Amino acid sequence: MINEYLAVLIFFVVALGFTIGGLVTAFLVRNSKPGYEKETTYECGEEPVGGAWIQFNMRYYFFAILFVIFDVEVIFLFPWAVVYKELLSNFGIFAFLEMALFLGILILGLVYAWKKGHLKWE
Amino acid sequence: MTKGFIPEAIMQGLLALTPEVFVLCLAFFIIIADLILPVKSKRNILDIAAVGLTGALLLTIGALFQQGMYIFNNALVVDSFARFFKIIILVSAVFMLLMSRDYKALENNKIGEYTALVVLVTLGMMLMAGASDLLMLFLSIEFVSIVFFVLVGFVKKDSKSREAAVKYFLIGAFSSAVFVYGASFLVGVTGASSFPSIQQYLIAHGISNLFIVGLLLMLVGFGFKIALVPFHMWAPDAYEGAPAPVTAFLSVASKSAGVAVLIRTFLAILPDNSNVNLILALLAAITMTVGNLVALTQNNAKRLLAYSGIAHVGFIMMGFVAYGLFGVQSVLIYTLAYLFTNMGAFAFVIAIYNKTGSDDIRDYGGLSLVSPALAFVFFVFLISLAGVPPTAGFLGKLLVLGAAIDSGYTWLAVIGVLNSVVSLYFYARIAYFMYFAKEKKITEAIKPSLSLNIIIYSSLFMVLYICLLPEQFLNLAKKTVQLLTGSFHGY
Amino acid sequence: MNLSYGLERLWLWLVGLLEKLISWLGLPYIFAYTLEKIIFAVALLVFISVSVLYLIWLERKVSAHMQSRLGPMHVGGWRGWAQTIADMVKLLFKEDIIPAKADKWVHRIAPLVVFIPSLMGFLVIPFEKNLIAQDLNAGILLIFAFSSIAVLAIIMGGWASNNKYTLLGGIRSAAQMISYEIPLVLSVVSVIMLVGSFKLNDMVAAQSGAGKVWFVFTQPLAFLLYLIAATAEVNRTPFDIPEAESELVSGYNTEYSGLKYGFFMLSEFTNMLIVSLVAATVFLGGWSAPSWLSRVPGIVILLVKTYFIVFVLMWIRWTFPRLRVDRLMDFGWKILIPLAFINIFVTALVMAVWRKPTKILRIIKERLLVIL
Repeated sequence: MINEYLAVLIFFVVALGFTIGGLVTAFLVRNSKPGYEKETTYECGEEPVGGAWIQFNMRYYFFAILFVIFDVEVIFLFPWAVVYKELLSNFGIFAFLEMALFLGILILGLVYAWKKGHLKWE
Repeated sequence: MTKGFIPEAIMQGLLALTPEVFVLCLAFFIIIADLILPVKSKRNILDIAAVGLTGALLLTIGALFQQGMYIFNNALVVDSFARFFKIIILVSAVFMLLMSRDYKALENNKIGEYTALVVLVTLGMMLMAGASDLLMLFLSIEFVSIVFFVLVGFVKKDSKSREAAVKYFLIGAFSSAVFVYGASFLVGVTGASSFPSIQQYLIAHGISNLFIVGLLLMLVGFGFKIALVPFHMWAPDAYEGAPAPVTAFLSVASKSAGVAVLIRTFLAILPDNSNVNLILALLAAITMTVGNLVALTQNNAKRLLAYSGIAHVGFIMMGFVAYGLFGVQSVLIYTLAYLFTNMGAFAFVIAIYNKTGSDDIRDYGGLSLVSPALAFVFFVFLISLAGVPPTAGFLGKLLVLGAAIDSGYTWLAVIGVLNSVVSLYFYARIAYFMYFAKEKKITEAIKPSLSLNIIIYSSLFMVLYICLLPEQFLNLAKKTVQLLTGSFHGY
Repeated sequence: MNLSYGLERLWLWLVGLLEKLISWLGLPYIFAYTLEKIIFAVALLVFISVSVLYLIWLERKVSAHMQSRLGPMHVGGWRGWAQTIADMVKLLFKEDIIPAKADKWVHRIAPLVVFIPSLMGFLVIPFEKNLIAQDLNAGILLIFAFSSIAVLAIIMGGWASNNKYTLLGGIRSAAQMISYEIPLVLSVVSVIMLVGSFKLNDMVAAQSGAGKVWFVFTQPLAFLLYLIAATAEVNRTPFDIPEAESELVSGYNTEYSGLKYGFFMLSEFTNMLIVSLVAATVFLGGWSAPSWLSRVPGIVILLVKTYFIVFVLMWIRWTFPRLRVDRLMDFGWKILIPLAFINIFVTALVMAVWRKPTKILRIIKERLLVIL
């Protein structure tokens, strides 16, 4: 039998073909007259001052790290959610308690970040 | 359902891990307390943690000689060997928290975080001592390392602390990578990750060269953790830069946990250690020699203790090279002696630092005049570090050397003895500054706080007690090792 | 021939024909499989393109009427129906400008990265029971996985342009999208718990038939959370800070022109479509309908539900003002995420207790007696 996930690859190839095809068509039919004025970076009509590749606010990193933590933990929730019904019939209330513990720790983490002011956008 | 809410296997595991569960709950309790308590009363969190960890310590001591067993699908093993090291770790954690109470560089509003990290790292090391699966081993080592990176750099205002943290982090990350690479060889060759299954495979199929390569790579990883010599570069910088209580903790607890893991891994995996023993012996010899020789020229007390710590790891490795019942037993006694001696010495360093704000041993001049009793106690710790009777350090060294000679490593024992002589010089140098320095830097009597006094005098008591009445401790170590071998049938 | 399920029958007939043809040619089954998927993907692309063209037109009309304007009226005759087609043709012929200072290759690749994942999401959406590209067991997880790639593309576009507005837009967008991804994913967990499967078809099955109700009624909070988080995920007002026409000159795609800009636009509306499709499938019963509507094809029912949600999203967009960036983050982290956790917790608790209420009560009673 064929691996079901082959469909993902096929879709990827079709989507890639569509986008590249579109861009190539546009390349073939469009006009191209580059010039200095056109190729300057847009800054509301003024001459651009400096580049944009600078260090930006530290806040963004905090949220990125928080996101990684929570997203990973959410991934742990998914397998549990799928088999929750079976767990309930096999282990009873323990299935709930175990995840309640996990969720509790997760929520404690959120509360901690909150109280320590890491969720504040400055 | 009828037998209770929790399935049998999980319940059994949790019961065996009662101290760990207790420490985990304590950590959460501290985090919550940190959120609730006002800044003024945050120093109390340290007391709460110290009391809690003492509770865990009592729980562990109570269960010391219970029958060992594997729990959670062989991920962890709970036996007297693990419990012995857990006791060492917990004692040093309690001492460390007591030391931190008066450490000036810690800010009040950071205390909660600091304490929570210390409790969590204690938990990590306790798991490390009981890990019996490569995955669990790696997770616990990483857990401990990452928390220590943060603890080492905890005093953010101090640029040395930050530098130490970055160095420690870079080298720690590198060593973890090497460790995992080695572990992947082991899994690749044997197709198993838990120690019992790996050992079974080895007994059935023999040891291949690839396996030895993997094991040696893992040894490199362990070497970084316990600062064996070619992999020790991080230790002096990290020890000097870190806040002093963290340094004490790092040098005792982290090292003991590393030693526990090292011994466990080799004992539990290898049916016999003839393949790697020579390498281990060479590493031990180099470690001792380099540690002691470099220590000769150090003036910073923390740095000096770091190098002396490296030398002590060499001695511990010597006991491990001897293998066998006697060898492991000597390692246990040595670690125990090292725990109390080093903790006592660090308590002094902190007491003097709190007074003078200096870690330089040349600034210790005049100590014997203003507080002679304290100076003498410090002297006792120093000779214990050097291994002179009647102190615990002497007993430890005696046993380790005996074990080495017993198993035919006479040359190693000779190097060990020579090293002890060398080390006498720099320990005596500190004593020299205390007693005979011309410049009297310390002019007022040093009065350590209550918590430091507790550490100093309990350590002093243990240091003398272990040497003068060694019977019980030898029996304890023997019983521990017997129970350890009882749970590893291959050895 | 029964009128209902016509498209599904057509598809199954086509699949059967293809398989027969391939086996008659003596080729292995994999060719038939590949061809089927390609046909489905192309059909989907056509569907998406047409939908998006008309969604843009609809958006303009809806916004116009909400503001007592008329919107596009001239191109094509009736109510300016061909306006967006003309726009697309214009985009195709427009000059492609890459700023001299830009990171050229990243700038070129970003539109690809933004569009491809938004098509991949359609892989697991059932338009009817059998009208589905591939009923993967990862199901909804796959949709979330692919939709989160869009963040990358937006950062790529914003960074590569080397323009202050685009960079700000890109980074803000990333912060917002990752913040709202957590409630988005969490809101579906409770439904997964009730269904016990990631497959969207199973979710539809759990909502259709006698005695079963749509999850929007049993999980209203989850639906609300999903809708809000989804609005933020597709960067629409009141969460359109990344684009914020008035302050960031349309944010991460300022420096794009021509068809590359078109792809950003296309994927934005495609994402809106996919978000609405998932909402319709997970919470509103998908292609299933009450028995008195059984003669209507499932795909029509699904699309009616989907476009209703799309309309709600547009309605929200033209009704509410934009949130300030700190309020936006606060709202996500301090309200939506805790609510999502509470929802999971309550659902799990109710499921645990509801299972055997009498037995639980008996155990509690016994315990109490022992304690007393």
